[in-house]
Amino acid sequence: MTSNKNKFEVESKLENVPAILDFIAEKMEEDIASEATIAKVQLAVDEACTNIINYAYSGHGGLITIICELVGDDFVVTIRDKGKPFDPRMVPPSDLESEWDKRKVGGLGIHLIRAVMDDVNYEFDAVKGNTLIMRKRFMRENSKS
Amino acid sequence: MDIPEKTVGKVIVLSISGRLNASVANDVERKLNSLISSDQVRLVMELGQLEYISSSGLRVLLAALKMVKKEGGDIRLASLQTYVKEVFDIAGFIPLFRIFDKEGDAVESFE
Repeated sequence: MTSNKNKFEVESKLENVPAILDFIAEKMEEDIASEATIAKVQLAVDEACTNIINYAYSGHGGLITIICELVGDDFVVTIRDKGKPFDPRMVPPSDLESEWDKRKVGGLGIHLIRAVMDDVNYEFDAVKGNTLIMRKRFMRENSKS
Repeated sequence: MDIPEKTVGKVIVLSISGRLNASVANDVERKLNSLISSDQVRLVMELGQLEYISSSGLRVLLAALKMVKKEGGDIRLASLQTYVKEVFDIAGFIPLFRIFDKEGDAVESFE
């Protein structure tokens, strides 16, 4: 596990997800984001990393790199992995309305990411692998000049 | 993950705390499956200390709800924190579950 100021790199394992979420909270607290905003970004990062661990790397391991930046009033999280290509923008909308007996179990992760973040982008490069870029707008309560 | 359990009449109350995401969803799934397979299908989940739920947690709750409903039971939820309720709302889960402010009311609703 390595980290510098804005970058955190971990082995692709479910037990490392709590450390990733703590890193997100720590970075967002520096920028004075509200608890509610932090919780939403944590949810999106949790969903994205769980997909990488379970699907992109299919539980075989690999590295996940998380980079946090403040760009204007956007908190931007970039997540990189070298697993199988997976474009979350290609996932069809989830069924949110059927009765319990018709409702499909699972497959809500991408829907939650889209709902809590303001913008989600994806790039694939044969050398760099998957790059997911998620943005969350927030109002700083205290300007750090 | 430690999942405290108590029996109130014919109802089992489970308390889930902390983060319910992929790291712990399997523990909750195992617990629910073992109760359901021993015909305990009237369940209350007390979520007052649950700070956070991801799609993995939602998946486990829906899978268990389908199993208990087929046996004439139900899973009812109590004391959801604002953020957890918001995620339920985003996921379209509010109409699937009967949700109570207090654990006692959720338990009594089975009578």
